[in-house]
Amino acid sequence: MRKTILILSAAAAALAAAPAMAAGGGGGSGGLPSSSGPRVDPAEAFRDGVEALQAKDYKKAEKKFGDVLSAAPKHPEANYYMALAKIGNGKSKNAVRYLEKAIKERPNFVEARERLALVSIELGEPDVAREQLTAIEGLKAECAAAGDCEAAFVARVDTAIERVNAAMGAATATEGPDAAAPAETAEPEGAPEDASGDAPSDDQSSDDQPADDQLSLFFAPRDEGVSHYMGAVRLINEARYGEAIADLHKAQAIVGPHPDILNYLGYSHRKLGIMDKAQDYYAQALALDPDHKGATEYLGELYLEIGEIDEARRQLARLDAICAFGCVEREDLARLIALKETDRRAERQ
Amino acid sequence: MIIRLAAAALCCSQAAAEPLEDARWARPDADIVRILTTSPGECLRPPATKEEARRVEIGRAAFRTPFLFGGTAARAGLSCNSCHRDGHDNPDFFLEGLSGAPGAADVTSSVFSKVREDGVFNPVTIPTLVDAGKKSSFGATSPHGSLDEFIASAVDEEFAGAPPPSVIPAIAAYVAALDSAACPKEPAKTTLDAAMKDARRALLTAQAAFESGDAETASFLLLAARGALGRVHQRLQGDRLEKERATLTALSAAIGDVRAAAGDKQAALAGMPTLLDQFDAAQRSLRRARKKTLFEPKALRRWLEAREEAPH
Repeated sequence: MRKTILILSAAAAALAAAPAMAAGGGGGSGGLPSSSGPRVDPAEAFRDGVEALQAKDYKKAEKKFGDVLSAAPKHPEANYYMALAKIGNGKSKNAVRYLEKAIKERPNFVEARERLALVSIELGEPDVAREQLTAIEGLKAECAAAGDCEAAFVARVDTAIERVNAAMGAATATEGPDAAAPAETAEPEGAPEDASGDAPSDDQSSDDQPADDQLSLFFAPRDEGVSHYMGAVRLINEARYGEAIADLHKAQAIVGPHPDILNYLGYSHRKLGIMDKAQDYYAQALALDPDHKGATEYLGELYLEIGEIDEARRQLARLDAICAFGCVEREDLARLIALKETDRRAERQ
Repeated sequence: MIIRLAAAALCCSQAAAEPLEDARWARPDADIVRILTTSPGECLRPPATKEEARRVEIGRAAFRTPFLFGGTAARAGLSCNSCHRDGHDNPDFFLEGLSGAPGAADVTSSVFSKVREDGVFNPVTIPTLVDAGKKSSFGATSPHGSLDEFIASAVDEEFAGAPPPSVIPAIAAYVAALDSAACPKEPAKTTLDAAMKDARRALLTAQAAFESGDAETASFLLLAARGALGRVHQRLQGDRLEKERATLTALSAAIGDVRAAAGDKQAALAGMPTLLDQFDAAQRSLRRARKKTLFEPKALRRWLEAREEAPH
């Protein structure tokens, strides 16, 4: 039997901590709980928002995804869902910037491109729709050229092309932009149907104890999102970073913004040499949890790799402050800095 | 009485205990209070020589610290003792996707290391290590002819660990000293004193390592001691233990200071007596508050119940 991580479709999901491997490994807030973090639990707000969308409670969805985006403004799915909520509330024009943001953060986000095309037709901007249609067709060609198209992805792309073409045709036939308004404008299609998973709970006693703002993903019950995360951990440990990124995207689409996922997105991009993107993901992880040990460590490693040793030392100092009782993240970064310093000394001699 | 037992069984979920590292590997339906306040009891045979005693103490500390490992295992807080509580099997061990049934683990999974990934989900029952020293072959999936070799491969290949050279033989010495003839009659209580004693033993062993000129092992043991104090710290929850938490944090920082000087044998050794005095003072302070700590079953149960009931 091929090894698989269990997928419990309706299981609860909580999140939080932890990392991958020898080479790296995340390292969320495992060990001592972090003492700081967002006031809003973005993953919980994400779950609530998804539920509200499913219930067609667009006002609540807008509020919840507003909370999510205040903590994680770049999260592509949250931007997309916010756009759906806006459309549901009759504010299609306002939805555009969220769709654009979702696409900027994830250029292969077919659903967002399709929705932007449909909204643009509704708003009388067929050029934008055509632009998105071309981009969607390009995605299909791109994955075909790479020889790694998943059947589900191709099917979704084909559906999007069909829908956009149909809407453009209808708009042309009536020669009036308003006539092409998609019927689903009031009730946006595309809301998640099976975004199962309880959001990460924020179990906390009433005392002052620093509690885990986000429980460890590593120990969370395996809903589908967490299963994708664990799959990504394994892929990272096998140095299959591209596949890991795909799994991490699937995880964050279900789980919502989570520092562990963002940290590993940073890690995987760094291992692929995409440093600017890696740094951006680490920054997003640390925005959600400033005491995230894994992201702090790996940001330090990134600085080492680009030759900014003083910045790496600053991350080490952060870990010294975060890890009052020691932590492997601190030890690993300290070791790598020492190695780098030894190399530099050798080069000078 | 029956009603009371039934109610007790309802408390509490593993998720509620998540901040406590010692509860992370418990199966979801486990009796968390029992797991956190008792252990099977260590079957440690008294050492025959000073040298054996030295090695066993290093091995004992290494067995109990996640710093033995690297990668995912260390970051998740896994130690040898997580799977082999006091050196025994562990029917309560569970990690979804790795265990299959409680008490088992897939030791050939890339969750912890790519080296042993075999592409098959094949968890095996976690064995007891008591009397393992009397065997002639070690390991079911990857048999070795000696305990040293087996432990070295497990630490390196399975858990991506790279401890100082002295540590693997020391763990082998510790495991070899686990003898069924030395087992206690009753399970052991996991008390504040017992947890602090573990940390102190690691400190004393570090001191001995400094004296013998093995700074690398001493540094590793100091880190293990800090980790042990961290697990105590996790059991100090609530406003009323703020002072005690600060005391432990300061103690850990002091250990870190000695560790930072590990390269200077004289300086490190000079710092140890003061450190041990500080440790003993901290322990006295903690003892006075022990009934409020989560080492006490009643306090632990109350805390878990409060977390279960807390709104998300």
